[in-house]
Amino acid sequence: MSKTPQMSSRERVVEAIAHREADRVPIVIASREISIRYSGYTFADIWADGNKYVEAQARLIKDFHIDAAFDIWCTPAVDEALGAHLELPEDDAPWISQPLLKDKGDIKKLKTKIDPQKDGRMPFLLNVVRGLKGKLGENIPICAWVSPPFRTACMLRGSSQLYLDIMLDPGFVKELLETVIGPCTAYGKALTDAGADIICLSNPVANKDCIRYDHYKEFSHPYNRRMFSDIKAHKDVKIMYHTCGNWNDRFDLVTEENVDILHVDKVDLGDLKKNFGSKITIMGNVKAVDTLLQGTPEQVEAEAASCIAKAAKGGGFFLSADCTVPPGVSPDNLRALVNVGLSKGRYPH
Amino acid sequence: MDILKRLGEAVIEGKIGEIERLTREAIDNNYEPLQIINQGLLSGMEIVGQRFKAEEMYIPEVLLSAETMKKAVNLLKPMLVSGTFGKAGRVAIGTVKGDLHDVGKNIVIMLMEAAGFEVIDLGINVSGNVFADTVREKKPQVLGMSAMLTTTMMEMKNVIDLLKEENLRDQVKVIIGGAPLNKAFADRIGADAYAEDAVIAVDLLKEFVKK
Repeated sequence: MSKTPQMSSRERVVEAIAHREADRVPIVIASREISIRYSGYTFADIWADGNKYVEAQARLIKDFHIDAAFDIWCTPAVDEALGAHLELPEDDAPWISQPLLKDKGDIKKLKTKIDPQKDGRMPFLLNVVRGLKGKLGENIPICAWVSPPFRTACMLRGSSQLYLDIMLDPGFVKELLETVIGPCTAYGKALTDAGADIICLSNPVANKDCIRYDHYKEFSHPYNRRMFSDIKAHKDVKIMYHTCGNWNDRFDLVTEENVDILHVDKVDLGDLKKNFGSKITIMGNVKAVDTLLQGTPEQVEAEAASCIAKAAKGGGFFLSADCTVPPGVSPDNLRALVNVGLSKGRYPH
Repeated sequence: MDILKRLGEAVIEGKIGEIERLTREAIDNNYEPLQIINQGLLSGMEIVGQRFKAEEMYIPEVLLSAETMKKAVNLLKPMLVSGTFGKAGRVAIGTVKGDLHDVGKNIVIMLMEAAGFEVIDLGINVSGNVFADTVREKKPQVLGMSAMLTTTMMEMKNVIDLLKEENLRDQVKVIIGGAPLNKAFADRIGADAYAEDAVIAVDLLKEFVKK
């Protein structure tokens, strides 16, 4: 079967999500940290000047033939807009140092509506998405992050406390989830209006390492499903869910949440393709730490080739790492990953 | 059922509303506070640890068990002779700078306490200086460090390097843990051990303190 000799990144990504074979597999990596480091910047630099982040993404994409850009994913952006204090370390990701809801009664003080054009750092983050769109044009899809309701609730309350609330006062947990779903969805919609093509979420507090299946089904699944559906009704975008940690027992739920792309951690891609490959696009999963950070280029190549062999056939696959690419990954190892995508990512027909 | 066994069951099942009544019942039956803790509450927590490892219990259930036990221990503490609780050894533990994840660390702490260790919890976002000062001043036999992010794990190396610079490294065994880590990483940064899960962390602790 003859293929278009050269597609744009957008065409390639669209084909893959449609479960058709493009000219080669798309290469998509969660690239915030590595792009900042590769350009010699720190997080402080990019918070001071969002254009530097746009430049850093453009440089990484150009030098490594990567098929998508990522925004400065600030998972606690909604928490900050709701009143939590955001810490901005000199050269690290932003985070919430103190839970806002120390007492359950504090929920009454939470805002139920936010204005993404005004609140917290959202205007800055939305500008960066617009900047990426302006700089990279229509040919490079833009991925932008928002936190799902369960994770937002964990950050506002503190994960340990929220887990205890699940056991002792599930009604309160649901009240909190109902309070935060509106703001989370509003920020997701604002990202799409700013130019994001793919809305990304991760929920590392809701995996099998943390909570049991029926708790996920009760406290995370329905809220995700509703939020993703609302965002997609607002704009024709795709949803990428990064399943950080062990999700093996709950992919059946995740794939029913209006998710298009699963960015997977340590899971057998062959099994995942067999069981869920017809429903979703799989993105993964060269080991970010063991292989990309600590391994040799030869090891990266072998693992990337194995990912392609297991999951690329028929489309529905992006070549990627299993998590965020750590900032310390060498350009040689990143190049090794990309080279496998460029050379062996062509579909074998 | 024997009251100590019922206390253990109450910890396993997280019966936080009943634990104080059961503890008082044990006291009224002339059990020593330390016996109530060791043979009742901690034997329950030990089973909680095993069930967590076997994926029969998850973090919310484990936290509830720990809270239940804590309620009983708080009731017993004023009756304990000073220094009789936590005499297996001393460990200091914290999540490294830039990282706010504490759920896993807190479970490790619970199981360490359940194994009879005195645990100094340094909390989250702990700077290298705080780790070093704690080793110098509190003299724990073991230092535990946690990191959950690929972006913060390198901070562990900075802490170990600081311990070396300040001639403290030989005084303490260093155990690291957290989702993105592995043994090769522990070897590379000069830690003594990598704990894949909370139960292994406690086993390593026992081994290091014995030496």
